[in-house]
Formats: sequence, structure tokens, C-alpha cells
Amino acid sequence: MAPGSTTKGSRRRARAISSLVGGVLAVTGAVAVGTAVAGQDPAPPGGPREAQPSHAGSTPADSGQQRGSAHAGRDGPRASPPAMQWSRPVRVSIPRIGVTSGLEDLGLDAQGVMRTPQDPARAGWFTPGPAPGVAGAAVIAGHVTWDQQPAVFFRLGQMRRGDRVEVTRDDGTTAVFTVSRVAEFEKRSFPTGAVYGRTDRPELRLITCGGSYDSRSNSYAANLIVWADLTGSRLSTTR
Amino acid sequence: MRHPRLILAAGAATLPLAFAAPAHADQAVNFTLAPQNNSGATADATITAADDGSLHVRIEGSGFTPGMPHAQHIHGATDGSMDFFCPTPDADKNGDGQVATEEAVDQYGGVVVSLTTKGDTSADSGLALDRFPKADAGGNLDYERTIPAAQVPDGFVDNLQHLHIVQHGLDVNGNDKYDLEGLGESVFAKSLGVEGVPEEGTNPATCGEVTPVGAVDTGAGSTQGVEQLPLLAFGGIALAGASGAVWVRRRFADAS
Repeated sequence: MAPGSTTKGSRRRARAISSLVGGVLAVTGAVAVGTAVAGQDPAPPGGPREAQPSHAGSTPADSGQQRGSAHAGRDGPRASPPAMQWSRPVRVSIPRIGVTSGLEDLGLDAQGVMRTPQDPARAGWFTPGPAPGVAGAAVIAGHVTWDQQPAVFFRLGQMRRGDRVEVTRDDGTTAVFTVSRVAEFEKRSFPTGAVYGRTDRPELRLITCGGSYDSRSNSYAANLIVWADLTGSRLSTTR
Repeated sequence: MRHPRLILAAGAATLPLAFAAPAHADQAVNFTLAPQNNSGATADATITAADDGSLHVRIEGSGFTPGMPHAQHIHGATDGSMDFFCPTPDADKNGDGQVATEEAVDQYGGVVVSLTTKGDTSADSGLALDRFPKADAGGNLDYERTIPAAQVPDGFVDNLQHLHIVQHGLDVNGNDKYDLEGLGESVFAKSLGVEGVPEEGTNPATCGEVTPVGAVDTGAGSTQGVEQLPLLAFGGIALAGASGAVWVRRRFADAS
């Protein structure tokens, strides 16, 4: 065999091998990157931004004595159904974002901060506050994400005014609420009065996290809050 | 199995924290007291249950009837009930425009602790107007007292989050005092055998439910940002290898 043909042959072989290796790597790489990219969850949707809390008198929401009411004066007086009897809430249903969840009990920690649900797939009811359906502002909170997976209130930012929220209660009745406002607040200017403050009518607040996520502190910079008013009630078909 | 060493490390990190928490820590609960019966009075209160069983109560209010004593109590129940809340206008059963104490008690429950300035703090002192704080000339009502463990009812701390604070006494006819001209005689006081007490002195002026501190931590581990980093990195390296192979192939092709 001539030396030239040996060189030629090995070159051909090298070309073939590098083609094969290159092809396999290219396909493997493309599949891996494609899978990883397809597996990316988007950041949770945010609500309308309200950087400042509603200072007393600065917005209709906080004027007068109805400190907690989201829309006092904004819509004018609205006929609202009478308050329901107290009963423990057992389930929240939010058709707009396809959420139905049982409810954990949420109290305060030793510092007086509201606890959050232990199960990221479930929402929780703030038991020191009113029950959904009685006069006052009932609060239901849920996680937006947990361990890099969407949690129960992941899509809460998609809620819009007029959307329905239903709370099934232990006495077999369902309280029907209608969303009046959706807004996001920086946590450092959390609108405590407008969320937990006294209301004479039955209202509901849904709370989750929002805003930018800080991976170092493992927390979000904002809270996304949904305000809703009791607009009806009925006997539940199922409990 | 996913990162077994990482899980072990995380487990080891949480163990000391779990055991570091004392069995009984001070529990501080804030209350925001809103006006009742258009009294115009408001207050903020903090009740701290200390680990020695005592209670520290601090209330700062304004808009009260100046110079007059204001009965104040912690209401509710200590048996786990959650169904008490601050009275709403529909509790006004006789339609006189005022939710009187006897009308409100179904909603806010009985007296658990009387927040007197000295001595007894049981429900027995509920109407001890000589031992309740007076508002100053500007209508400010500040109160601070440590109630010893022996006077704290059983089950109080476990139920603290579900209790309410109610302050009484308002001036309906604008003469800066409680008088019979305002709303007549107190039906509630009379029912307890005390005659001649003005209804203005016993009707609720504020009621407060628990208000959490700060914002809500409803999210850990966002879905935003880059996930599946190992797979991305592997794909990236494979693609880099592929371009390397193309370069090798070109080199040999150039040489021929």
C-alpha cells in the first residue's frame, strides 16, 4: 500500500468519524437544550402595579370609616346581599384560573405575621379574621410558586374585575364573591388597612406573592391582592 | 434518587433550627380598633403573652370622649371558637341607630378579660367604671398594664388570635360627657342591677380584630429565571462538541 493512500484512507476515516461524532453531538445537544427550554415555566403573571399603599384620603378606597373597603365611593353604593351566618369555609373555587382548593387554617406566628399554607397546592383561610360570608374582610392566601413549580395561586394575577370567586362553607352554603379590584403592592408598602381593615359588608381578599423574585432571600418583593365583595349565596350542591 | 447528599445536608441544616425554637416563646398579637356606632374613636393595641404566663397589654387610642372613663375588655371565648367578630350595624336589633352592648354580645362574645387599671381583671369587673382608664382632655386614651399569670384565664393564649378588644363610651349629643340626655339609661347596666348609668357610657366605641404584621410570604422558589440548569449545560457542551467535530472534519477536508 502506498503511503499516500494510507494517509488518504485515514483522512477519510477521520472525516467520517468527525461527521458521525459531530452529528450525534449536534442532535443530542439540540434535544437537551430544546427539552430544557421547553421545561422553563414562565414567571407568574402580575397584576396592576400599585407601588404606594392607599394613604388615608388619597384614594376613594381609604376615605371615610370604611377603611378596608376597596371601592367605597368608587362605584357608589352597591346593593349587596345581607351577611351570612358564621360558618367555617372548606373550599375556594376560582373559575377564571381553574382553581379549586381545600383550605388550611392560617394563624399568626410568634412575631404576629400571618402564616402561609404548608401545602403549596392548597390555599389557606386566615382564622383570626372573619369567615367568608360574614361582615368584614375574610382573607384567603395561597402560594404562587414553590420549589420552582407553580403553586395554587400561580395565575391569580390573571384575575379581573367582575370575576367570580366562590367559597363553600361547612354549613352547606356557598358564598359568591365578585372581584372589585386586583393590584400588586411592594411588600414594604403592604396596604394592611385596605386588606384586613374593618368593613361593614361581607368582603373577601385573596393574597399571593408577586413582583420580582430574589433568589438569595428566596422571596418575592411584592404581594398580589384581589379584593372581592359578597354578591350572592346559595345552598351548595356538593360539600 | 435526587441529589441524596444535598437532601441530607438540607436535613442536617433544619434540625438545629427545629430544636432551637423554645417550647414557649413570647407571642405578640396586634389589634386594630375601628369605630363603633360612629364614635369617631380609633386605637391600636398589642397584647404580648410572655413565656411566664403573664400578659402585657398596650393600647393607644384617640377620638374618645375627653375626661370620661372608657370600659374596655377582651371579648370572645377560650374554648377554640372562631365565630365571634366585631359587631356590624345589622346587630342593631331595636333600630335606634346604635349597636348597644346587649345587642353586640352575640357577635363579639362574652368578657374574657376586663382591661382595668388595677386589681381584678375578670368578667366581674366588666362595669367597674372607677377602674377603667379615662381619656385625656384631647380625647387620647392610652393604656398599659401587665396582667400576672394568675389572672390570665385558662386557654387564653391558645385562643388569643381569635379574641377581640372592645372599648366603650361615646358622646352622642356632643356635650363631651356621658349623660341620660344622649341615649337614655343603659339597658345593659340595668340588666346587671346598676341603675342610672347613661347608655352613652356603655355602648361600644371601638372594636378591634387581630391584624397581622407586614406582608404575606406566599412564594418560595420562583418559576422565573433559568431552570433545569444541568440539562441546559449538558446540551450546551454537546453542541460545542458538535461544532468541534465540524472543525476537525473541515481540517481534514482542507488537508486533502
